[in-house]
Amino acid sequence: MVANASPVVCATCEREMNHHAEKLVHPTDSVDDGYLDPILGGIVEEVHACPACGTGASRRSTR
Amino acid sequence: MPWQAREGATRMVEPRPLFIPVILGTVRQGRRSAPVARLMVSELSRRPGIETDLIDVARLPLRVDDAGEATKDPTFAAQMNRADALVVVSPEYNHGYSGLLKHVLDSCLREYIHKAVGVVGVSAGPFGGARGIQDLLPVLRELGLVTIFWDVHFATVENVFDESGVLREPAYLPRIDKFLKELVWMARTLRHGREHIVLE
Ligand SMILES: Cc1cc2nc3c(=O)[nH]c(=O)nc-3n(C[C@H](O)[C@H](O)[C@H](O)COP(=O)(O)O)c2cc1C
Ligand SMILES: [Zn+2]
Repeated sequence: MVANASPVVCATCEREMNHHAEKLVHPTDSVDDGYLDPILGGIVEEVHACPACGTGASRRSTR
Repeated sequence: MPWQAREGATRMVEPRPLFIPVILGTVRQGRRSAPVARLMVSELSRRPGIETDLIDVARLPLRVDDAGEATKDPTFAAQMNRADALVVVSPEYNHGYSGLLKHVLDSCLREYIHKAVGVVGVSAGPFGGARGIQDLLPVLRELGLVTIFWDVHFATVENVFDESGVLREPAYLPRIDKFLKELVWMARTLRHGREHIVLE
């Protein structure tokens, strides 16, 4: 799998966000299937926060 | 004296106020959890550096013919995204929490992660919603929230407020104070972590 190398950038401040969490989430439909991690038993969602304005963002981990 | 505040211990000055909304977790007609939620909003509002809001689950336009993030309301999701911590007012229904509170909480997920939550239990009976709180804690944990070790229990709630919703029992105020102090500390700490501490 390809690593999520690119940082997430805040849509408001254009600052690089801080990657602070990876949370296992449960798939609910077939579009999620490609992200399923068979070892962890779910989808890993990366969670980021902006150090300037606090806004949160997330994306599916491909690591 | 390791347990005393040391000289040089810092009081953090937040660049932005903390946002700590209160979720009123029932839609029941005549709900006694409403004055409890209003009291929590009022106690939060008196603290400097904190903004709050009352989020009434009865007013959220959430569909009940679906579940989970498919039901997400953009306004509620934006409030959860902005929140640093939550106060959940949870009445005890048949030794559990209210089904609609769970439905509303389930509509978001990533918005909650690494944020603090404290639960205020409400009941007609003598246990102050404690049984409902105990069942809610693992749900909050799975949502990515960080639970605090203080709760507030409004037991026999019909005696605690007068007809106009004014608190009759001042003994609740020091309990709420301890609960909110811990919640605010956790909210500050987790905000710092979210914004500055990288997951290794
Ligand atoms: C479906 C239902 C179940 C209830 N079960 C309990 C219970 O298990 N224990 C209790 O102390 N009170 C119970 N109550 C009473 C509530 O705790 C009481 O209404 C209290 O005021 C808090 O809820 P409220 O905000 O709806 O008023 C129940 C109420 C309802 C509607
Ligand atoms: Zn930003």
